Amino acid sequence: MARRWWLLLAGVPAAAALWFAGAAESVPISIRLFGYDRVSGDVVAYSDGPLESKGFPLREPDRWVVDIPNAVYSGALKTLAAVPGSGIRQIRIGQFTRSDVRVVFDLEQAMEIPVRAEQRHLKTSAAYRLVFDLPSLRPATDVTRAKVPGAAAKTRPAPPAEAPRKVRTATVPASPSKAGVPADPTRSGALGSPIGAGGLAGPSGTGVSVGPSGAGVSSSPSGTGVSSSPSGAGVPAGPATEEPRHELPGMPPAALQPLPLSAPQIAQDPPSPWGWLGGLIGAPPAEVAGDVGHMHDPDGKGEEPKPVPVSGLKLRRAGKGWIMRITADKPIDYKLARMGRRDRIYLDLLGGTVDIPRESMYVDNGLMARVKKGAMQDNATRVVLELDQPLRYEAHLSADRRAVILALSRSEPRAVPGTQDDRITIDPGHGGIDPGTIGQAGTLEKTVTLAVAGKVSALLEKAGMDVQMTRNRDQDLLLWPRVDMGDEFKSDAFVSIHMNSSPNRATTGIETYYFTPESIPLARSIHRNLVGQLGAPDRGIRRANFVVVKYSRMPAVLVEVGYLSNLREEGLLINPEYQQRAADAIKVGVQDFLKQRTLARQ
Amino acid sequence: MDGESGRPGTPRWVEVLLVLVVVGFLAYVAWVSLGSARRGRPVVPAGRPVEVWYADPTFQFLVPAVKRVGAQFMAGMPIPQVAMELLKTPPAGLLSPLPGQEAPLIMVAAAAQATVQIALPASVGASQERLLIGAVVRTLTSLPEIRSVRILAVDAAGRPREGHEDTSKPFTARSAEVRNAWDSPGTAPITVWFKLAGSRYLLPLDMAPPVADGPIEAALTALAGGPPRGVAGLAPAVPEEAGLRFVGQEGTTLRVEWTRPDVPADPGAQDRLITATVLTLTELPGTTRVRFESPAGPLARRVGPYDLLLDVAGHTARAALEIKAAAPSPPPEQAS
Repeated sequence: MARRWWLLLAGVPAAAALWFAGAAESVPISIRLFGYDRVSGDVVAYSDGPLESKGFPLREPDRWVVDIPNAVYSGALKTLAAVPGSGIRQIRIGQFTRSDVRVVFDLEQAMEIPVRAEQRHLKTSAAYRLVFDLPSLRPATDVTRAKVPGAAAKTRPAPPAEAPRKVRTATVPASPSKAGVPADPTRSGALGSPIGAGGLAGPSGTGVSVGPSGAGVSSSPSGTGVSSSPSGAGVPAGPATEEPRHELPGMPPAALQPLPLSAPQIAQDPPSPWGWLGGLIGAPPAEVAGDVGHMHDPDGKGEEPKPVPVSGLKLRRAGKGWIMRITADKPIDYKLARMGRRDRIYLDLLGGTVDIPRESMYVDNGLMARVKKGAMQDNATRVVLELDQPLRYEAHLSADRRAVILALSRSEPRAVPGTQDDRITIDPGHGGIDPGTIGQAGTLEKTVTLAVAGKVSALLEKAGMDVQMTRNRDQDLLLWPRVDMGDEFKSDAFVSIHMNSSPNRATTGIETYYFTPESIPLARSIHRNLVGQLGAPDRGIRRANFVVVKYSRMPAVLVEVGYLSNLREEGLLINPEYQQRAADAIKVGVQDFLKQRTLARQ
Repeated sequence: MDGESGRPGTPRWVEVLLVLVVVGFLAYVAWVSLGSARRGRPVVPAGRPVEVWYADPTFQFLVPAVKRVGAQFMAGMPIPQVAMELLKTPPAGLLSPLPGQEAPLIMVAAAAQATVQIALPASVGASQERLLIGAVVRTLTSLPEIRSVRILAVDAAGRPREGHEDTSKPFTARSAEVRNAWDSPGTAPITVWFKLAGSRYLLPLDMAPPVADGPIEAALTALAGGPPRGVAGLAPAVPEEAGLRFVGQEGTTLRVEWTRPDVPADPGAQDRLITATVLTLTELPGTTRVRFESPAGPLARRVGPYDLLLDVAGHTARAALEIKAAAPSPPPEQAS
């Protein structure tokens, strides 16, 4: 009997201990914080208990995956941007299984990320942490070390130099929608090309884009989106815009990732104006993790990427004419010739090939009937444009020599500059999922900029100028495509229209920004007229590092018409009459500039 | 009752002793301070000065202010990150250009270049973005260990995003994009320090030089002439009546005659005159010090916590931009 008592006395605590141990093990440890350590710069995951981890590589694309068993992730951050030059495109964290957390490092090249567990002597709920040792992410915790010549540079590679110009054409899978019907936005979003309502229509609601297997062409000079493809299955194409030339530091080179395609493809999407951002800006997280199909893939298994052609032909309306952009697979040269009797233009692309179908593509835009690829020898492609009427045309190579940009117009050669046929690009700031600043009463900057820009455009056209708007509806458009549109249009002036914002809500007034000295007369002319016409405080003409004014090849300014952050000025800016006055001032400013330029040239 | 004071329990001699100790301590402190001042020894506050750039209330200009960071605070994190933390707490009369309460995060600070992640919500206007980047760059490049800054703009979720600015190249303190400038095309601008109207802050402005015999005279003329026409919110820090005049140069020291050292009469305004003059003249290449002279005799003044005698070095004047503000407590070590 006594022996049983002994057993009971020893067994109950032992069983209780075992039960507690088991229960403790089954309770997942919470990872509360994930991010960069402010002191060391390492990537860290803080938890309320000790964590284990197991790392392993995945290929195609290269990733390093770290599984953290018996853990739940309760932090808010899902994606971390990487440091330029670190070899890591981005870092993702997510709940892989019910009890496992997975951290995925999207790599530019294969590498191993060591992990170490640390216990911090803090009485907080985040006393434990995992430290992911990224060699090139270590900041100078001891600033004196950075002064040692050479030593720091060896262990900490400097961020990369300026990203090279990148050109990419994206391809949209065949859409079941008819011509003029917006493409499935979810599909475009999944491709990392969030295209706003209105589908893929270009700035003027017109455009032609042809993919390698594309037989469908949509073209509608009037912006109605009429399909003229033989199959009748075309989608209106967006602006033949180019990917941003420069990636922001630390950008994942998603633009270079192959897009998953689904056959048949009938149209080639304009490259997403969001480029590598792939819908990062403001899009829902599920679609915006960004890397065209596989970046938001917490299990790290990703779909097998398929190759996508990067060459093709795009046609879009610009002002009174059209711009055709033919992108080859490598740097090219070109020859342009005209066959008079049959009104044909031959464009021979030398040194590269272009993926466009051999058969004719019906365009029928009032200027030309069709485009087709002619027979040529290897490493050369002939593109033939069959014209409806004699055209004025100009061609030039893009900066990276991979694209020929052909500007087609029925207009006669320019008359006296400054009076007729001057080309102006008007750029309404922001758009699509980028609302710009938001007024106190909820006014969106993108809405006001579009309204003012539309009025400016109408006034300039009425004055006889050839006007192109970078967008004429609420659509996504990055900065570089805006610059390229101005360049391709061979604009005489580029005016970007914005509304301002300040934490000091009392701030009101007009500012005009420029970058190049050639832009100063345009800035002064527009600014003077705006201040005079609107009577708002003059906040000056300033030089600024803004992309749209810095890289445009023509005189370019960015006008901040007023402050949406000021309630009174917000009320004015949404007033159509005030907008009209602003538009009139900008129009007069542009005209004054052109007249001054003409006088100076004479 | 013998030996007892009015209050029971405390002997009178103890009270007398306590009073003597206190009086003696105060006398010692006063003697040390007066002696130090009498000997002209600089009285420099402890801690490292960090120049932090904020925005003026009209959100047009970047304004520097010097804050001191104690050794205890500095031990908690690298000084560049400390500087970014200080951006969150502007002194009275200035604004922080940060869109939120999240300090920019230094991701790499090596080889004299810092890579900084800045949260840039879509709602930030072009002007604020320009000031924000300018403030970060000017603040970091005022530290001797950092020469250039690469900016990485991210959205609220930490994803890279594109703002208005071109951030593809690193910035330096000399980058035109991060400087206060007024439309001065076609001319090599000079940097002149003016006073922020209605406050005691000084700030630099790149402007076209006025017509003068040489760059030094042009700088002094611009100082007294005030900001260019059209610039709102700035005022001259040097009254024209003070009669500053360039009289000569010895090595890298410029000799400036202060014809009427009684103008301005206000000691604070005199401090600003000295500081603005030194900062403006030491912006000129080859100048590191300014010597103030007067027909009436030697000049000896104090600017802020510093003793400024006849020679004023540029870096001393820069430190005189110091503001009286307690350094914020260090944030806890945590992931962002």
